[in-house]
Amino acid sequence: MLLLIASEAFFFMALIIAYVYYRNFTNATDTVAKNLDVVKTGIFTLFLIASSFTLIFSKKALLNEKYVLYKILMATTILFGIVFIIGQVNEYMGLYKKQITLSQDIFGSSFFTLTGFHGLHVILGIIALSILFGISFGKLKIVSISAIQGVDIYWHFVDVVWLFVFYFVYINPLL
Amino acid sequence: MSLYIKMPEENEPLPSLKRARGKLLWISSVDHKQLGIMYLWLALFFFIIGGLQAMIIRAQLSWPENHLVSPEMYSQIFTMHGTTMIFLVLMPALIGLGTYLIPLMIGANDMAFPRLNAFSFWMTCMGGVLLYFSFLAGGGPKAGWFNYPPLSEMNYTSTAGVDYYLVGLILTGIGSIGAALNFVTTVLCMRSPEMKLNMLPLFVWMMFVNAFLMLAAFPLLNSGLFLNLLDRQFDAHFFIPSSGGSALLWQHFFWAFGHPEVYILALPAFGIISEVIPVFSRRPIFGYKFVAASTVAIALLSYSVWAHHMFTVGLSNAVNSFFAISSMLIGIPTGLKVINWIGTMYKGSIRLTIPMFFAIAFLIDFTLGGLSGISFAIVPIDWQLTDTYYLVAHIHYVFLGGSLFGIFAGIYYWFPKISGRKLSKRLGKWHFWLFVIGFNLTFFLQHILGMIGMPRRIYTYPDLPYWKVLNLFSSIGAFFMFTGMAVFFWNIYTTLKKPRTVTSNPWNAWTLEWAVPSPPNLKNFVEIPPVHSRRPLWDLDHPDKPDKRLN
Amino acid sequence: MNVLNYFLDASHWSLPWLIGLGLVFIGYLLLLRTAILQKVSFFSALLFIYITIGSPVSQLNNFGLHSVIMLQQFFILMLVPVLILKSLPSELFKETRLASFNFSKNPSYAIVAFWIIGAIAMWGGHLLSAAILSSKTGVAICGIVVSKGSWITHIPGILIMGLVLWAGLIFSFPIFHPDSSKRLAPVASVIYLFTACLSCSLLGLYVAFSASAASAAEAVPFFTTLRNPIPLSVRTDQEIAGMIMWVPGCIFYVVLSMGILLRWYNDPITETEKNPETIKTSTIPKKTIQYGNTEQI
Repeated sequence: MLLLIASEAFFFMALIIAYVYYRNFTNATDTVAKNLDVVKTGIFTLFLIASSFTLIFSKKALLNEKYVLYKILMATTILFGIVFIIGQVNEYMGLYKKQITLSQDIFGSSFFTLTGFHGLHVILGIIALSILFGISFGKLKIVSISAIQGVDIYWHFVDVVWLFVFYFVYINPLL
Repeated sequence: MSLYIKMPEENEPLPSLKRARGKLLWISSVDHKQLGIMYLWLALFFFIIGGLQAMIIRAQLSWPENHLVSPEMYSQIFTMHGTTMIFLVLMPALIGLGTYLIPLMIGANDMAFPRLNAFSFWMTCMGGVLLYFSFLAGGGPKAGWFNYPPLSEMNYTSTAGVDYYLVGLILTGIGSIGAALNFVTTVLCMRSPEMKLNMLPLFVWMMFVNAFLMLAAFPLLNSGLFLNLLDRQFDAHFFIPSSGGSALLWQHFFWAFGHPEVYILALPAFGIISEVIPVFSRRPIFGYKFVAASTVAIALLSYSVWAHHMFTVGLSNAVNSFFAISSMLIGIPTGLKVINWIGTMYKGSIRLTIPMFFAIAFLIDFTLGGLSGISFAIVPIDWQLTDTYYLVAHIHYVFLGGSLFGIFAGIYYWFPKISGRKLSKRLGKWHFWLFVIGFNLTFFLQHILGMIGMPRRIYTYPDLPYWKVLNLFSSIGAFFMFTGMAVFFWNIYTTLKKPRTVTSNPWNAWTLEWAVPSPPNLKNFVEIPPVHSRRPLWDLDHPDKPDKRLN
Repeated sequence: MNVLNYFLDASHWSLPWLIGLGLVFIGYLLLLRTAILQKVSFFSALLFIYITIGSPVSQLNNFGLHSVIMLQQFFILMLVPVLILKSLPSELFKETRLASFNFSKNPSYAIVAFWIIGAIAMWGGHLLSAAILSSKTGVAICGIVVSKGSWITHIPGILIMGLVLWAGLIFSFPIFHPDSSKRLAPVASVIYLFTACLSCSLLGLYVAFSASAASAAEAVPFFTTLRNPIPLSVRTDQEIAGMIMWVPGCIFYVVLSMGILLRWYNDPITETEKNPETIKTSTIPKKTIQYGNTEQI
């Protein structure tokens, strides 16, 4: 899983390079940045970070064989992840209403691509977490160690990538 | 349906296609040997197609003002020829050989992630099918195999071919990433407990380093492909200069992938040669540690040279010079390897088998290709000769003279292990000489064509001095190659009909894959031989003079 | 004056630093028992420190030449720490708390911390240098604008150099621990160095390619004054700076990796075997086999 994450890190790095390139190396002015609500997205970011923490505790509970705690914390993680996605979708709809789309200009393109791919990875992570959550109710009462470790690393990676994306897309224009 | 999977018995062979549900057993297989064989068949199939495309190109260019095919069709053919040969022939062949051989060489019974293995293969298949489906959907991609914008954008190429190219390559790219993940994990976790990481056979070590290269390079390609797809389908503006994008960014992304990619194609071939030459010189490899360490050097340095594909786009002199320096430096580890291979042959007792023929041809032709590459590192020479036939000659010398000869050597060397029959030496010699003579005839002359000014990718040309005769001889050489390949396929076909007579170690080689029967049973190893050096089978056969003990 | 005269002029070479570093070398010779190669290594480290701080190279720094600053950073952050660590005897850290760091066993989160310190030093050092350069010259450097005469210019350059050197020592510690049996395993070392190289490359690329962007587009040969012997335009200077960071920097790491790998292949029995769990796919711990340590360098 670490290898896959290293590989995906290169992928996101390339997308961020494209974004940074358009912001800093061309003469175009950033039309998307001033329409972004940093505070609201910041709150949703906190939800994502919180979900990483609940996942850490969930894994600890599993390794200590406290299954009920594990299930509760896993469900919380999934919930926080879903909240984050809802926030993203909300933001997209708001931008759409202001007619900022993928095809508007290069900033529209790169913003939606970067956050869109990240959102896709979050959704995939939520699906993986839900599978882990779901099978813990069935005959397999125990999730395999490698499964939870793999998904754990993946989810933290998704979180860290979001922190980088948040910095470059939301915070950097304000500096 | 029962979930019970019967464990393979000790002597159970791979399933035959003729038995009940045999075809299903192959399609649904997760066994690394079956997948390796399927990769090789895939490569062979696409090689025939790519080769025919090459023949059409050479036929079109045989004399001036020829109109064999339309310019439209010609653009599609040369784009598909490049894309097919690189992504659907060389990559699957090398990954296939790796998939087949890595577990056998390290004493494992399968790869770390068998289902991921199958997934990678079928993704590669799917990507190839999708790529070729484009011909049925309005025409193949025609913007060249590296698909530069603005030509590849919707306003200049509105047929769907480029979209099929983009999606097809995304799929094969995902397949390759999966295979790379598998290689690294297998080598790290599934070795025989006695085999330390610094005792690996060189083929395994090179595939291991190569896998890291693949993991880092393919995401860069995928990101560029996705961005181009978004440009074309969703009207994004990444690479369109008129609306603020940058066509140069595609070039950076593509070549940041593309240059490691050529090393991804070269390193496994180096690995094959590092196995073949010692066995047929009857000496262990000269300077194992230098070959192994220089592999890592090549892998690391390959990320710092990509802009040498972009010397003509107007980067400043300072930037160009640094890339020129690093491009020249990367020739050093490769040259070191060539010295090591020649050093292995020195004072060895050379057995001139067909794999050895191809290995020697590799040494000569890949070195020539490398030299023309170094000449490109000199920026003013590049300014004169880039995008001419000199470049075409260079890439074919390294791809064919390097990767393809390595693959041929590997196939002739491991064919007895994979199928239990040796390929005919007589037919092999015909294949070798026809192909090597044809290859050098075709591509050596193209160096000269490039220097006298013939650009690449042109559909036809006027009757300039020497252009006609050089092109004609180039095409004659292509015909020789075609005949040589026909002999090769005939060789494979007739050999596969013979009975299986080969013993487990027909070449008297020394690595672990030669300890199992030919072909191996479904369960590779019931017992792994003791491994205390880099040549375990030599130690077993010569207990009085074993290699230096390494664990 | 031209470049040759500039370098030959004795007033540009700092005497106090020469004497100070000479005393340090004498102290080293007297206090520590080491092999000849290690003495050469320490001497080279001091030589490079002198080149960076006391030679005309540091004088050129005053002209705000970006490429010169980059060269200094390369020496101090990458080259000198490695040379210093190699010159230390293996028993040096036995009695201290640092002895508890044994990187050849399961590498702990400490490795990540060491790596991050190195990365912060590099990125932070550059940000700080850019800020100082910007406040000295009044030009925006890579988008960083600091007003002339701000408090940043009062941070002594020596302090920054010292911090950078210290961070470089920490970063190189897992790879070049004087006690070679405690070092990080070879393949993991290569990955450690490669990831650092990646982070260096990103910044170097950014610096090099932003040279042609708007802020540096005044192609006025800004830094040619009567006393500066090296005439370079702002743009070329910045490009060279970025490329120095990237190409020689990466080549240095590649050479280090080669050295580590070659030694690993040379003497396999005496090197500690790293359990193949750098990339963990299960939690089953494997036993490591500890062989005795013999080598000092």
